[in-house]
Parts: sequence; C-alpha cells; structure tokens
Amino acid sequence: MSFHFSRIFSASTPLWFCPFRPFFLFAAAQGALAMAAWLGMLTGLLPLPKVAGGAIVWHAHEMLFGFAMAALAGFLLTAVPEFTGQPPMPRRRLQWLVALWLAGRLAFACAGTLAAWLAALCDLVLLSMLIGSIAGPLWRQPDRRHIAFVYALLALLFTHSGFYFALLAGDDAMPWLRLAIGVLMALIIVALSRISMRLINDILAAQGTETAPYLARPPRRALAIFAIAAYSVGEFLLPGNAVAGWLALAAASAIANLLNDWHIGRALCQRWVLIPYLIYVCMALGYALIGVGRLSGMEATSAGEHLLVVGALGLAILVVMAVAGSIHSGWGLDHRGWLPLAAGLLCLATVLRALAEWPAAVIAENGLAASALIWFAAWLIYLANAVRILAGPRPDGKQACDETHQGNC
Amino acid sequence: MAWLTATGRYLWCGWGSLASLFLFLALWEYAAQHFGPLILPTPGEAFGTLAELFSSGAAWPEILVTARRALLGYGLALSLGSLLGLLVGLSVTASVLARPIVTLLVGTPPVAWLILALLWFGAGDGTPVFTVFIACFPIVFVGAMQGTRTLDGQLQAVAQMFGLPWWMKLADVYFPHVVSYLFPGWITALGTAWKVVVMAELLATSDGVGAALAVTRSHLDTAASMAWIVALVGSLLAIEYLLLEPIKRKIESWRTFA
Amino acid sequence: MNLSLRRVAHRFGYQRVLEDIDLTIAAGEAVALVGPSGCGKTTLLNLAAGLLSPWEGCIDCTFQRPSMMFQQPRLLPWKRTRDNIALGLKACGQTRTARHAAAAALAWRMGLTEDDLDKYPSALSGGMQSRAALARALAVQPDLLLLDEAFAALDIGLKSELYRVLAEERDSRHCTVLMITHDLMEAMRLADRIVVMAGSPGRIVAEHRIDVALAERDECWIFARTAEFIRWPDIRAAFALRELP
Repeated sequence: MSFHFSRIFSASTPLWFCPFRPFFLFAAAQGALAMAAWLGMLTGLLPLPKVAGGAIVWHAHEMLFGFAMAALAGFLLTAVPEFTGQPPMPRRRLQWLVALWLAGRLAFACAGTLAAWLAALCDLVLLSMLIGSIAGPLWRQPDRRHIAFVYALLALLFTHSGFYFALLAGDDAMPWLRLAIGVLMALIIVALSRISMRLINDILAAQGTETAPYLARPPRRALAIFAIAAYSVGEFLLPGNAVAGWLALAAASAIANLLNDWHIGRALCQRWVLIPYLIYVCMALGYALIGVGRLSGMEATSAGEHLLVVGALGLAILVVMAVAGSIHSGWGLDHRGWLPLAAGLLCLATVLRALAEWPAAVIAENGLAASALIWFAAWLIYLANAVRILAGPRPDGKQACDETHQGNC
Repeated sequence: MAWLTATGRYLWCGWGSLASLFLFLALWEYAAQHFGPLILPTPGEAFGTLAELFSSGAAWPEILVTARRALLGYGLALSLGSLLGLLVGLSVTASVLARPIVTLLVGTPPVAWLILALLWFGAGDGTPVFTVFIACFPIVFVGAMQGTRTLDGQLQAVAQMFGLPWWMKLADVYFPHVVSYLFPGWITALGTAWKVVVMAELLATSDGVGAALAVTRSHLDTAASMAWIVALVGSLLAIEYLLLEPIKRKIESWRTFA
Repeated sequence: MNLSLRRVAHRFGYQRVLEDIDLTIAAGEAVALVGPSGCGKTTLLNLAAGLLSPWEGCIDCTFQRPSMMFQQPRLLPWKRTRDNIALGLKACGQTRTARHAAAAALAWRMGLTEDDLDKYPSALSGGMQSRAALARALAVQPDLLLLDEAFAALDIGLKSELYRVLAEERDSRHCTVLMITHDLMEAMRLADRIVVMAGSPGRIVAEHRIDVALAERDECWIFARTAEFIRWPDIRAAFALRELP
C-alpha cells in the first residue's frame, strides 16, 4: 500500500512528466464528478451541500474555479515554458500546486465558515503561484507578446478574491462569479488565438490547400475583449439594467466580428477548425441571448450564461486538452472519433441547458437533468480516451513535454 | 459566386460596426436613465415610438415627401454637377476660374441658402429642393473637376501607343479614373442632401420629416423627436452601407483589395 | 521596312533637348542607346514611337506594329494583370478567350503565375510589374519593339531569363529592337549596334557595331568587350569619366 502510494508521488511517474498531465486529468474528473453531484442534488438523490452561499454558488464555483481553473493551470504551465523556451517547472513544485488545488476542492465541498477560509487560502495561493510562475518569463520576453495571459490571470485573481470576500462576509457572491465568466471568455479568446493560428495553418499547409492563411487579427480580438469586459463590468455595477443588455449585444457582435478571421472556405469543415469556430458561435449566441432577453423584458440571462460556460468554456477546455494533451505527450494530434463525439455531446448539452430556461418548452422539466447527464457523458468519454495519454509513458520513451512533429495531420 | 462570397464577407464585416453602435446605444441608455425621459428618452422608448409611427401608418407619407424632395435636389446636383465638373476639368483656364466660385459655394452655410430660397420660392417644394441642390452641387462639381483635371498623361500615352480605339480609351482608361473621383463626391453629397432637406423642411414646409420634427418639438414629445432622428440617421446609414459602399467596392476593387 | 530620323531636333519650351539626330534602324536590327541621364534618350524613343512630333527634321517609320515598354510599368491600376497584358490585343479586336490565352502563355514565359494574373497591379512587386509591362509590349507581336530601361528593376536571374525571351522573340519573328539602357553589359549582350549619346542638348557622339552573333557572346566575351568599350575616349567623354593616363 505504502509502496503504491510512494510510486504515485515519485517524480518519475509519467503523471508528473509535465504540468498538463495531472491538471488535465483532474480537470476532466472534476468536470464529470462535480456535475454528477449536481445532478444528484437536482434530482433529490443527494442532499444539498451545506456550503456558504448555497448550492448554486457551490455548483458555479466548482465549475469555474475548480474545473476550468485546473484546465487553465495545466494549459498555461505547459504553454508558457514553450512560448518562452524555458524548462517546465520542477516536478515537486507541480505536486504542490496540484495538492493545493485538490485541497481547495475538498475544503469548498465541506465549506462551513471555517472550511471556507481554508478553501479561500488554497485557491488564492494556487492562483497566485500560477501567476508567479508564468508572469516572469512572459514579462521578460522581448516584445511581451503573450502578456495578455498575465493580465487575464490578475483579473481572475481579483474576481476570485472578491468572491471569497463576499462569501465570508455573508453577501451575495454570484456577481463575482458572473464577472469571472467574463474574464474566462476573454482568456478563451486570448488562448484560442495562439493555439488556432498555429494549429489551423499547420493543417492548411499539410493539406496543401491554397487558401488564404488563417490570421487572428489583433484589433478584432481587442474589440471583442473590450466589449466582453464592458458587459461584465456593466452587469456587475448595474445588475439587471438595460445598459448591460446593450453591452451584451455589443459583445455578441464583436465576437461575431471575430469570426471574420475564420471564414477561410472549405477548410472550416474539419474538427480542428470547426470546434474552435463553434466556441465563438456559442459565445456570440450566449451574449446575444443575454442582451435580447434583457432588452425585450424576457430575462434569459441564465440561459445565455450557460451558453457561455457549457458551450464556449466546455468546448474550449475540451479542444485545448485534446490538442495540448496529445501533442505534448508525444502522441501527435488525435484523429480518433471520440473528440467530435464529445464535442457534439457538449453542444447538445448546451442547447438543452439553454432550452430548459424556456418556460413553454416541453423539456423544461427534464432539460436540466438531461443536459447535466450529457455533459457528464462527454467528460467520461474524454477520460476514457485520455487517461492512457495523460498518465502513461510517452511512446518515444522520453520524460519531457516535447512536442511530436508528425506530418500526418 | 465569387461576388456572392465577397458580399457575404462584406456584410459579415458589419458586425464590427454593429458592436460599436451597440456600445453607443449603451451610453445613450445610461445617459437617458440619468437625465430622465423629458431630456432624453431611452433607446427602447425611441425605437418603440418609431415602430408605432410606422405601424400606425403616420410615418410613410412624411418620409415619401421628404425622400422626393431630397432625391429631386440631389438628382439635379448630381447630373448638373458631374457634367459641368467634367467639362470644366478639361480646361485649365476654366478650372482656375471655377475654383474660387466653388469655394464660395461650399463656404456659404446651407441656412443662408435656405433664407434666400424662402424669399425666392416661398413655402413649398421649391425651397427644400433648391437648398438641397445648392448644398450638393459644389461637392459633386469639385469631384468631377478633379476627375478630369488629374487624368493621367502617362496612361494616355499607353493608350495611344497600343492604338486603343476611342471607346476603349473611354471605358478602360478615362472612366475608371474619373469614377474614382466622382463616387466619393456623390456619397458625401447624398449625406448632405438628407441632412439639408430636413433642415429646410423644419423651417419652410408643413409636411415631411422636418415638419414632423417641428411638431414633436412644439409638443415637447422627446420620444417622438428621437424616433424621427433615429429614422433619419438609420435610413442614411442603410443607404450608405447597404447600397453605396458595396457599389463602390465593386467598382474600385482594384484600390482596396490585393 | 525601316525607321529613319533625319536631322531631328526637339525642344521642350525654350530648352533644346535633342539636336541634329541622324539615325536609321533597319528591319531585324537591335540598337542600344546609351548615354548619361538626362541626355534625351527617352525623348528620342518617344519621337520614334510617334508619341511626340519633332520640332525640326523628319521621322519616317514604315513599321506596321510598333510597341513600347515605358520606363515606369504604366499598367492600368484598375485592370487585372491578365487584362493589362492583353490590352493591345483587345485594341486589335481579338476575342476575350483568345487574348486571355495569349496573355497567359506570355506571362508564363516571363515567370508570372496564374495567381499573379488575377491580381491588380498594386498587389504585384516592382519586378513583377515590369515583367507584366514587357509582356504587354510583346503581346501584340510587334515588328518594332521600343524598350526604355526594360530590365532595370530585375534581379540578375530574372534578367537572364528575359534576355532569353527577347532573343527567342527576335529569332522567331525578326523583331526590330530599339532599347535604352544604363547597363553597358546589357547593351553589349543584346545589341547589334550601340549608339552613344551625350547631353545638353542630346547628340549622337559615337556608334559601335558588334559583329559577333548573339549565340556566341558568352559571359567572358561580354566582360572583356565591355571593359574595352569603357576605355574608349569618346565613351569616357560622353559619360564625363576621368581621362585615362
């Protein structure tokens, strides 16, 4: 027993080769388990958790700062050393980070007042350490090309701190979580532009298609991020106001404007291009729904927000974990059919979740549960296919984060 | 097909402008909430009133009257201005002679013309039509004059060397060049026409959008005033971005696109 | 067929540009005009092309289809490269498909791709523009080709490619060439006769005939002859070079 235990923590276990491995594994597990628990609570099988702020705060916080945060940490700790040409972080330090994350989840799950302090401590220290380990290298880069990640993480730290302050003071903590959704949407745009610019052009080049190359144009990106920030701040300061409704429409239009970069012809119809495209579609529709609902008096903010988090955030995390996970573990891009299947399930879950808010819809009663179940299934599929990649040895026997350059895209 | 894709692409680019318009509406909304409906109605109220005006049928006759006057003045300015401008541009002497006069015409504020027109034509169609004409004419004229003034001697030598027949010289050498000067003038003039006609109607007539605006003002009906203003600006934006800009892009694709 | 200029003089306003020019170019001949900048070479070419009328003297041109490549590319900016090359053919009344096919074939020989043909001139690089201009001049199958520094904007690889195109053109259709160049080696490589002009007002100061066949002029020969050519006193005087000891 103690032998197995020490083996898991031994730094030479494949799980610790690279930061993304444990974090992606835990992210997917959290995505599945936290949703299963929520499903249990919805259907009355499980008792509501006795956490500060109530069950909905628990659900939202665990999806945003548990699930998404783990995926984000895994991505940044792998991508930033690659961007800056530095070695990945020491494995001991990585184990500390993962332990902090786990402790934060446990503490939040049984968050009475005391445990809430503990959860705050774990989560905020984790986020600060994450910023600490990427800010230096990104700042020292010659043109600070990727510094947007640091700003976004600082914004995330701010909202997360605000969340815990409100929670511990007994105030409504949901506005802070809404703000965090905005920060995460901006982060998706920042991260996707980096990933897809390379990925898509690699694929286009490998196919030898002579189309216009895909270019993520900075001004459009900046406009989209600005509009998202404007909406998030507007909604935070004037909740429920029509001003935020117009700002949401502005955000939706700015994101649709971003899709200009993506209209590259027939090449759009393949998974590595289509899934990122769908992320933006979900995001634009989400903000559009929030805006239209607000201005027409038929409030649809919750449906819109779930388009953002289930659709945009879920798909973004799925595609980033699928790409970064298999490339940096030496397997090359994964062309098996599970990824489109999981992405399709996430889209279906998104649609069902949004429709569940529709008062007249037949599925309203079972929509929430069905959506949660499908989401759960999607992450199980990911886990089933990625466990070997994340926790197993590399095919080339190395112990690093190196990419493979397979020409068979 | 290629044209269809290009048009789709162009329309999709509209999202960017839409985003900035929505940001503007958010500011408007905030200001309206701050100042209250008597000073500034919210965008929702303005759009609602506008929809009412249309659904009750009150808006269409006024808009038609205004459009008729604006287009008449604009059409006159367009045809006369283009023709005279092109002819004058052919002669250096005439250009030198015309320039100060055009500066004079451009510099005179439309309100001054309106006063004169009221004296000459009285209250009726003549006043707004004339004001629109005289406000648009110099803009079109200058564009046309520059068009022929700047005809490229080097390209004419090419045309002569390769023995281009007169119709080819016209269609392939002169026309594209002249149009690239004419078109911006036409577009600017259209905007001017739309603005000036309402101003003229406000002071000179009893029907049309301008007159309707005057009525809403006298009733202190801010929402209806705002609705009319939205209709004016909206129609101008629609004409410019949905009609003129695509035509311009089509004709001048060599300028913008690689 | 020939082109002859007799006692031609030209003025721009009060300034005398050319004076006392006597030059005859026979069919099939290639003549290179060299001389310092501003000595009236381009004016002479424009006179030969009929774009200017001489102030004095007379010009007699019996060629049927003269064609010219100007110093700047002078492509029509609103026409795609394909239509620019086919401009002269359109003027001759060729059908659209025929002239586009001819333009594409010629462009291919010049090293322009199908993709370049669909672009507007503003999207082409300087070298591509001059190749398109040369293609436009050759498209009409001229019997007299006037070139005004046609190859100045090209790198040496492209130059030698286009020298080959020009040579083929002369071989197959006995096209007469009158060219202006600043590159003495180019003149030595391409011309049957080099006419040296000197400035203000422009006059012809020397003539140099090259009797070696085009095919036999290899690089060594060209280097040697050019070196020898620059040593001539009248050449040195025309270009205001220091006298040799």
